[in-house]
Amino acid sequence: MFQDSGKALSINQNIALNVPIPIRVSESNKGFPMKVMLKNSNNFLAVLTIIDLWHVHSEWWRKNLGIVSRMYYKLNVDERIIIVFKDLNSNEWFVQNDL
Amino acid sequence: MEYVELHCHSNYSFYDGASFIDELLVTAKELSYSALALTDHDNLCGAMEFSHLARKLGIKPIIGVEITLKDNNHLTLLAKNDEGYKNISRLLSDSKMSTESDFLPDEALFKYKNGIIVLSGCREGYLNKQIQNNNEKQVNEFLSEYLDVFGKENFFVELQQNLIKGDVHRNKLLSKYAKNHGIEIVATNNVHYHVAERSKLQDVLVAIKNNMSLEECGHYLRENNHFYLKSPEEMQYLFASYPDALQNTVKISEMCDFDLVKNTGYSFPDYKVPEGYSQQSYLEQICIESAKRKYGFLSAKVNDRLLEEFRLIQKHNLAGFLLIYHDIIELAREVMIDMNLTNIEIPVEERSPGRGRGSSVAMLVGYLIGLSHIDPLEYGLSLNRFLPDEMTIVPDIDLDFPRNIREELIRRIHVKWGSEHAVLAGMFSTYKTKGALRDVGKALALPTSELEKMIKLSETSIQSDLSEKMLKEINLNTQFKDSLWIELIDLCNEIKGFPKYLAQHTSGMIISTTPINDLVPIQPANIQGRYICQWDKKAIEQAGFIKIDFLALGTLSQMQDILNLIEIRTGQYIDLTRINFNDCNVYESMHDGDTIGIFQIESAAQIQTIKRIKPNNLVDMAYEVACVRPGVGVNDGVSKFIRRRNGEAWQFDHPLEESALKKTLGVILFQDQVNKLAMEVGGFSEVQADELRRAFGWKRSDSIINEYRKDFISGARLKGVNTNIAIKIFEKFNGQYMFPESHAFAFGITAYHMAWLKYYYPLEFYVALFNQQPMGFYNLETLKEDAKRHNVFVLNPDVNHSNALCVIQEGKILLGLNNIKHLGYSTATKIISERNCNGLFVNVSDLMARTDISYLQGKSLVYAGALDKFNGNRRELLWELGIFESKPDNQKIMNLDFGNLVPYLNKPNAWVNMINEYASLGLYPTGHVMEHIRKKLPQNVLSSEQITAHKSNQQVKVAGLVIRRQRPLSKSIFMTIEDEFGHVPIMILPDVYEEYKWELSKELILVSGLVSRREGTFNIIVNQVWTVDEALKFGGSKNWQ
Repeated sequence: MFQDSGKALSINQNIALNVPIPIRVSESNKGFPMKVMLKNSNNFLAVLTIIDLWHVHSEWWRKNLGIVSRMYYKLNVDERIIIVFKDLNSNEWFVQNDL
Repeated sequence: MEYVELHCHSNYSFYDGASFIDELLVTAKELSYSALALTDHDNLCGAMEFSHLARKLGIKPIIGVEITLKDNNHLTLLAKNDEGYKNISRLLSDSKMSTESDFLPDEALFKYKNGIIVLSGCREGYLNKQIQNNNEKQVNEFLSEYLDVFGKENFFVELQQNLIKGDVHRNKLLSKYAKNHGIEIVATNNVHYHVAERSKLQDVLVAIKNNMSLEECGHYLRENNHFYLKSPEEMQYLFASYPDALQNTVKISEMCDFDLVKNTGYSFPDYKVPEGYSQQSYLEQICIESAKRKYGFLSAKVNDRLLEEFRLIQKHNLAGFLLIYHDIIELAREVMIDMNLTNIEIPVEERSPGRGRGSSVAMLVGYLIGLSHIDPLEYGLSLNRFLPDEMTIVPDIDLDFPRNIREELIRRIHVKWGSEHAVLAGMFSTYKTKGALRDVGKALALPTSELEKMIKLSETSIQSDLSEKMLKEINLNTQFKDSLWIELIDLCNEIKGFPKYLAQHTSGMIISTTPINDLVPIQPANIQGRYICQWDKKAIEQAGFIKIDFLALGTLSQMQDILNLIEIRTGQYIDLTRINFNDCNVYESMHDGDTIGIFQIESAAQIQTIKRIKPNNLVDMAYEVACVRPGVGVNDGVSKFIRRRNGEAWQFDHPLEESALKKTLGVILFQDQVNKLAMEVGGFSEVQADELRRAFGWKRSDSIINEYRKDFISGARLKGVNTNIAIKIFEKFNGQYMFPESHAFAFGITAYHMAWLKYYYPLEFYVALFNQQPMGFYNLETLKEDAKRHNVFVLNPDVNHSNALCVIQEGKILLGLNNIKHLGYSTATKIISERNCNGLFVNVSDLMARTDISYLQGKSLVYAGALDKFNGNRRELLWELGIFESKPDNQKIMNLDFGNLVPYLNKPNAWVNMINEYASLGLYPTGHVMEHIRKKLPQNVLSSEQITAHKSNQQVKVAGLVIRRQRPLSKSIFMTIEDEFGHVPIMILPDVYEEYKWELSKELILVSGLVSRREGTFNIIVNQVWTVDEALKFGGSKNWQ
């Protein structure tokens, strides 16, 4: 049994799920991810394979939020499958699993 | 590395393709493509345009389609050869004609397998869906079946890499399966627009298609903007792991050996003749019999002309073609007989159901078989244009019919020839400014009220200024702060001209001996029993099909009515082909500008021109009709022509112009002269010259025109014309519409016929004109005023004497019950039928009890004066009617005679009656609103009659009812105001218009301005405007943009 927290539920309390986490990535000359440094790690891990890659370019009509333009990579890193993306507006890298 | 795109959508994919065909081809040329395929969704609408333009740009066109099969599965088909094209066309026709399902089963495709190359399809294809779902068994079955049906050389597995999630994996699997089955792979980019930037419009189109905002669209939208026409280098990069997929694009393009431009498969229509006759001998016999009826005997002149025409008809194998026209005319005559519009005794050439308007009017054979209303021998018409010795293109014969005949005729033609051999031309409804603003604005989820403001702005602006005006509005008003408004302007400019859907063309029809679905896909039209093809008139023309234009011409309906009314009233039967065509009285009435209600010469611009041209014969009539066309006005052609006609000195820009332009004094008045000039000066062949003329008429033809311009200049140089002169002559051509010479001649004659009828039979002329409304330039009020000036007076309708339509009563026009608002034709006929069966109505209650009309309809009858015979006091009539206002729906009405019970009420005054008559009838039969208003206006406000005495540059004030607003290609606005004496044309310059836009939108205005009398024209150049009474609502003007 869960104990009643006593707090009222509110529809305004949206919780963002699966928020991308910034990571450091070392890129090849062509811009492909070569090594990634995951959260809670101080070491770069080598990308063994790029399993898939895709580009999302949309929501150009949401002027206040900006166009979503991201290059996604599904990677095999140290025998783990992870999904990272480069935000093409800011050139920053993020990891985002559960896609 | 070479690459050919084999999967490409244009905007003919209707809301799933964001580029015009020319944009795709010009980009393909820039990317050095040797070939390009067009594969729109389920249609070949753009195939002909694509083939012609590609050929002109030196790109090999490949015709294909992305077909939708059962379960919404897509598949890419390419025409390998002639048979393949026919099979695609048949397949699409079957799919559209099928009543069972929107989509075809695979078996239907297999039936038409020959000559088709199949690519396995995009992400929406069956194969990809099975791969996505790991259905290995279905994948293998599909590949085996298709390989078996189409063969290894005609079936390819299609790989697409648009950087969509899953593409890498899917391509690996596709490649693996293909290899296992021994099938080759091919790369395509599933192109939906020519450049990446156009992806925004693609998104908007998807939103419009789904009737959603972009925000709501979600997964309907593509994930990115990689569906553009990519360079071979980009494709090489994306398909680095599959080099053979790229090489196969070239291989497939080489396998496709079908050119729609060269081979449409069309053959002239055949005609079944009675035994013992050839088509030629049968046609000759019909003509000779008709000539004997027409002329009494075969004179040498008639005989010689007929022999010459017979020779040319035989040479060009046109007998079957003309016999089919003859059949159509006979069919139309049967319609006329069934409608009691003629009788079997009257020969077809004497009261032809239709009349030709093209160059065919020059043909004696046409006159004799009922195609034309003109005896070409009497007016010395030359045969050259219609039947030259060296004919390259089969000319169309355009036939005008009265409206009622045309509708029935089209139905009977479908019945007679069947949908396999007779279909209507298609027509694409395209985006114009207003629709674009509305649809794109909705997709962008812009607030409706602001959007309506923008739409309003577009209605009062000319196209070239619109973007600028909208930007100004956006910058000035904080309500447009969202930057999406700027996006809206760009997207609207891009979407303008995009096809929205395929509809039925109003007039064009193809009749073919070859089944039409072998040539172009056909589909049912919205009107039951009619079929349309997937090409519009331009594509049909490019395909060289013989097309028949059945045009509904209100003026012919009017003419038919007039002749019948004359016959009823006077017993006189008039043969319009035999009237005096040199009647000074008729021409003088035209010189005075008395042409309201007359076909082709009634608009304000036409009246101004006819007063200056002063026609005195049928050739002059053709000039008059031709002059008021936008294409003539472009280079000040009208004024130039009139000045030169009146003696102004001029010379050709080069002597080579002489043979083309001599008779029209160096000005291009007719389409034919464009061809002739291109041949004489630019050295074009007859075919090239015609292509040039047509290209000018196309939308978005800049790149093509530029090619022709270069050819013209170099051709002219070879003929010794220097470059500057050649450029000057080329600039005389333009894309605005002009009449062909014979067309102008045919219309000129129709205009003369109507002018003749108006002059000699004004009563019948106006009755027929009233009954054929809506048609022409003016509303009923203006026509009534014009009738009054011809001593033809109009009577208010009378519930006990009016018919549904207007009739003649004691030399006046008695308005019909159908003229009364809220009644409509069916209620009018019900009232008449009750009256005929059970006698005249005696009072309001009697009328209401016997006819079951509503309170609103009763009120409208009172307002129209239709019940005045019951009681001259309309207020008392309304009181009586009041009892029926809140009658429950099913309650039976008691027939009550109120007699002396009606309270005494004051009669409404003349002003109130007038307002009510305008409201109920749209006109005020007994007077004009300005008669009432003038009493209250200052003395210095002049009438249209007084103003005739004023000279140029005098400042005047006039007031009246606005009956016309027109904005031609120039920026000035032209309006006409009407008072109780006549019309005053006014001209408003753009800055004045901006200042008085609101006042000028009102019905009654008072203007102050300068009289302008220039070269025989008359206008008031307005500098100030006031509204006379904005609260009143009178019959509105007809507005043209």
